[in-house]
Amino acid sequence: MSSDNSPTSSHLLEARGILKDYDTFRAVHAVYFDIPHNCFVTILGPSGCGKTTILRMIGGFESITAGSIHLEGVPIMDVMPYDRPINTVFQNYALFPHLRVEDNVAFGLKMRRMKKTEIRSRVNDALESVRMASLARRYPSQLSGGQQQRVALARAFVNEPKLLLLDEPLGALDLKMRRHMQVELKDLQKRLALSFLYVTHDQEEAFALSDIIIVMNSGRIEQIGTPVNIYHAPENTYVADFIGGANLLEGRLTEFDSSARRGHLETEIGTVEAACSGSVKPDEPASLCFRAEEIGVDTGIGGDISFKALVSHIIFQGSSKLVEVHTGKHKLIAKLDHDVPVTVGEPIKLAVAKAKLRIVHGSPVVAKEIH
Amino acid sequence: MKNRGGSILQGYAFAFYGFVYLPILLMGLFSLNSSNLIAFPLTGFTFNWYVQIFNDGRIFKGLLTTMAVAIPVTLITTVLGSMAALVLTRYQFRLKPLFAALLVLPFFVPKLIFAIAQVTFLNDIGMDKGLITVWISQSLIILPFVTIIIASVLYKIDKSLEEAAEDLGARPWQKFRRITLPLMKNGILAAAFISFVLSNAEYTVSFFTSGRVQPLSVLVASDFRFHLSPSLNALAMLIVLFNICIIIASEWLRRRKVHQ
Repeated sequence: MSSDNSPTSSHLLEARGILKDYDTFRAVHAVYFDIPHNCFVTILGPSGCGKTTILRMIGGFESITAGSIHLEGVPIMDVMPYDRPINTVFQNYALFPHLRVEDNVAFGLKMRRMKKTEIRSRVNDALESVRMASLARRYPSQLSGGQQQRVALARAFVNEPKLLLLDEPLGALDLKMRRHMQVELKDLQKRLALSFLYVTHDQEEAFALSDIIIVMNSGRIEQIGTPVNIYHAPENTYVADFIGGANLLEGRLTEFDSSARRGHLETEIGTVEAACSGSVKPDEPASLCFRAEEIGVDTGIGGDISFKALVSHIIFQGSSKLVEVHTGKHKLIAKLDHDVPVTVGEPIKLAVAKAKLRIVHGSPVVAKEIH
Repeated sequence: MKNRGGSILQGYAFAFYGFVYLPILLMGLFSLNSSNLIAFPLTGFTFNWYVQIFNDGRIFKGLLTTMAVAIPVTLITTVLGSMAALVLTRYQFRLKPLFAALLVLPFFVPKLIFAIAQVTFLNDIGMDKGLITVWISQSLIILPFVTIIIASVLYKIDKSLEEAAEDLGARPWQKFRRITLPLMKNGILAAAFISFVLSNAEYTVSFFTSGRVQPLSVLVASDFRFHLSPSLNALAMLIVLFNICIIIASEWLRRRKVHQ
């Protein structure tokens, strides 16, 4: 990685080796990532993985222990939050309780000493675009969660920041409202042609919204990629498991072609030849990875790898069913059509297309359960 | 067993409130009794003692002195207390525990000792007893109360509100002026009321540092010793009622949400 102090690339924001220590605890290990212009970027990870800390470092609310953050090529580490052209939508909205909706939204513009008439028209436009103009005279306590959410959004983007930070902004809403707001958020991001940096632990939300997902785990970045990329080409067992709970079979790498990134993995269901993720290295643990929906009943057609397994559990899901099976010491989950005959306690012959198999770095994290 | 425990607790509660409030009720009773003696039997109903208080120039002068003490003391303690509370709740520094401990220490120093120490010190630095010395010594006694009340309000203010203000471009002063101050306003007012009441009721320190400018509390105490009269009951009742009103007002302010 480059530690160049004058980045020349066209990214909006570049984080270079940013690191955060609290006393003896390292919350964020030197991480590197870029945020392109006009892009919805999501940091996805479980609570305590350091994702909010990264957001707060970019917003200026936490100092960074080491590393650099450049916004449009300019270092911003020593810039105070009130001088950064960045605005935040806080997790609990943080609306000012003593100010009316319109005054909450006008706050940032007033701080910039903008003319009153200009403030009024901008506030009105911002409230229009989140469909809150009719409630401009209300106080925050007189609004529902979803309405407060919209005001918080308007209050942030009315300032025309270069980057909008959103810290789990939908966390407090119920499921239906959340789905609704996801659509609105994505819509808003496109309309404003603005980059969003969004933090969430909800992978469905990350998939629904993001152009780029940064998967984090205990202070480190596990993978950066598009949702499709993250889902279909996970780097390692952590990402494969965290995103949609892929099936993982531990194996031993017997052959590895580092230029073609293909290898042979010896597993319980036989030795398979498959594509390897970028982080796979010889003499390090590797696992075979495939999704539940990529498993089918063995039909004897070529191009598949087939294996025997023992059915231990069945969950009916309408048009399909989740079948938990055992192969030696591993537990796998197959998503089969509802009309495939399966009986608990009986053996079954399953198959996966060879093209769907992928060798990823690491050992399976934990025993899998049907969700 | 549980029942017996319950009735013991109940009896205790009645006894407790009895000891606190019966004397005050008796005072109220005698302030309306026509006899010169503060003793049973009651002889008849009168407002004379109250009339007498309102016509007593000495008492009126004492009341003016009390105000001349209480209003500056309220201002001093509220401003300094707000500042101390802000430091306690908004800044991190190495000596903060020491700062907090020194702030509440006056709670634990017996007032008499504190008062004597004050008099000696003020005398040593050449200050004559008078209004200013009462302002100083009362403020020192009342400051911890005020600081704690305001700090309790500040603790409850969501820190992300101040971060949001900064995020939206507010510099430290603007952040304080536009967000923190409006949100702590009710706490400051509540603390001011309490400070005012504490100043009115303060006796020990005032007695030692007031010299010839005697506030009401000092005046009343000396009257109770030298010319006991039911009119003092009337005065005491007026003070009690006044203070109760102020305390109710301050609690109402403290509990009131910034916006409902």
